[in-house]
Amino acid sequence: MKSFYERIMHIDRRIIYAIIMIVVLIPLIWSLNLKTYHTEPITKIYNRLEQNHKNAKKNGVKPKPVFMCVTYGGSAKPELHPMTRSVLRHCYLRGIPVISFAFEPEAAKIAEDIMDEVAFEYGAVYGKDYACFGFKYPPLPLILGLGTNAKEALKEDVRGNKYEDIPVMHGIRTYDDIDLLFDFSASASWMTWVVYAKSRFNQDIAVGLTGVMVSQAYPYLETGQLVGILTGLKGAAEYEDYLMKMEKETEYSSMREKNLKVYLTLTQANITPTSKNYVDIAERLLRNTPEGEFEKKLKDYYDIAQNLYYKKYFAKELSARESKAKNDAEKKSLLNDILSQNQDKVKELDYLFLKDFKKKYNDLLATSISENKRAMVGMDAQAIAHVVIILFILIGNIGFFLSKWR
Amino acid sequence: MKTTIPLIIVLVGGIIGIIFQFIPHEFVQTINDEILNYFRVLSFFALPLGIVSILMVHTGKIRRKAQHWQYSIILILTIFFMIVTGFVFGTDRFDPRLANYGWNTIFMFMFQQVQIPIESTMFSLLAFYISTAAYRAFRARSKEATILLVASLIVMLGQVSVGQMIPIIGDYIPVISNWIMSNPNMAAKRGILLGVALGMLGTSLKIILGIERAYLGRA
Repeated sequence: MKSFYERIMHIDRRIIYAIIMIVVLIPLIWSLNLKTYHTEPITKIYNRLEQNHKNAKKNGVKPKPVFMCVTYGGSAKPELHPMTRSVLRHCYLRGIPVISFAFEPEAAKIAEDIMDEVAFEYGAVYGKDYACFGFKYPPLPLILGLGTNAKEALKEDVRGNKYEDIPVMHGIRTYDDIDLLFDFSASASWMTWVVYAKSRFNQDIAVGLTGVMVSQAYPYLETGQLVGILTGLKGAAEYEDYLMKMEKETEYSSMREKNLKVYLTLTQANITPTSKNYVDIAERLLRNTPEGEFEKKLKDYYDIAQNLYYKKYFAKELSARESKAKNDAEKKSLLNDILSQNQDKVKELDYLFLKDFKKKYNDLLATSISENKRAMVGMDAQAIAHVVIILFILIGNIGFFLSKWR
Repeated sequence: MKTTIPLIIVLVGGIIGIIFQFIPHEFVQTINDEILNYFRVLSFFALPLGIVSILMVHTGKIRRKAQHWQYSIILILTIFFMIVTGFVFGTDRFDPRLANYGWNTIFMFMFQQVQIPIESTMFSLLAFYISTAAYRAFRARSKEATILLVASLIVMLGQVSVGQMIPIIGDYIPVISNWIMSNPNMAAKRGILLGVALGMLGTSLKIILGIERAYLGRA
């Protein structure tokens, strides 16, 4: 029979797996709200973007843009996505233009997704506040090209717009015209940026890396070749904490509600969020509509969405009558005729539409709020997992010393 | 001849690559940009080459009925499924938060709802392996192992907020953790990086001068 110390020295790995799984799950279900402490590599990045904003405000100009290279796939997404989101939130909040590209096709789609998603919440407009240039390969020509001729290196964005036709790109010729370059990476691509963009063009670089890669980047931080490092999930949690404080100060929550309303109403009205039409309407509503007229203007699109809902419900009746209609004018009035003949049903549809709209809106808001503190929640789980692993290491060592002592 | 021409191309290409880094003249940089464009075109051929290679390997496995050949069928079917759906239905994005707008595509659905969660799941298994590996490997068997053990415990605690919550020593843990990362860790990393850089330099020179010829298909 195995002695006590032998047993604690050789705990079955399945038991360890089960315990780790349980301790990771608990904080994800019941948030522990552990305090987030700030460290220098993250603070430096935050301060750098704040400085960019302050300088622009002082000089009465638009902040200098940042480039964002997204080079991670699904495997590193849980760790790197929250930090990408945080940096985007910071940039959109402070009006800092963001231009993204990726060295992997998978990452290009991830970058587009997150840029649009955060933009819809923060009222950023495509082409004016941000642009995506998608998959660029191989990396080296792009990295060197941005130092000599950015227009030639990037050429066309993911929506098919030419470089010169994208307002946010006006005035960006080389690295000299941008503030900071971010590389969110699960590979060694950030090293290529340091070797070529930093040493040859003196471009300031910040990186967001997975936890296991962070130790490799410290030498570059110390020499000043990196402005800062977003250190895995912990780095993302620190950044989220900074932004939560900033959003409270700027009373951002009411702005988010307005932005999400626009996003939801337009998408319900079948205006594709990635289309030029959406960009124009969203910009008009969010930027060029006086506060008092906003609800009225938005109502026009709400009515379009509601009409689509009616059309869907009365589709069969509508198509039957359309086939009998004699001219276009008659066709156009068909829906109104049907609605006036079914007023009780219309009232019910109005109620259902509003209920569905409110549900979707609440879902969007809840997702936005939870996504904005995803890394902080993740860090709760990571903290407990670390403690449990440390306990296992200590138990193993106690067994080891007991065996030696005997 | 079969050997000489590739060797000359590598020699000339390598020397040009080095020289162009040091000449900022516009004419030289224009040629450099053009060469980089060739590089871009050439790299495109890696994609069909990769597809052909993976198909050859897996059709071979299916023909031979090698171990787990059934998975090869799934792989080939999946490749073609994604190619066909991408070309036929497009790659417009789908917002999983709000379905039902007519702008979602099968391709993006597969990407966002299947591929990304699978990859994330695979990567998350690392946490479980690390846990058991740490439990088995971190034993204070010698002085060096004890130093490594203590350093790892401090860094692990310093990386999470729990470390700071320990009474009395809590405030010092992140400071010590940061010191470990930015001093001993950095010194060791620098040593490795310098070694790797010198190794790369040596290998590059050997390739350019034709001493290292493994890329020609023979040692």
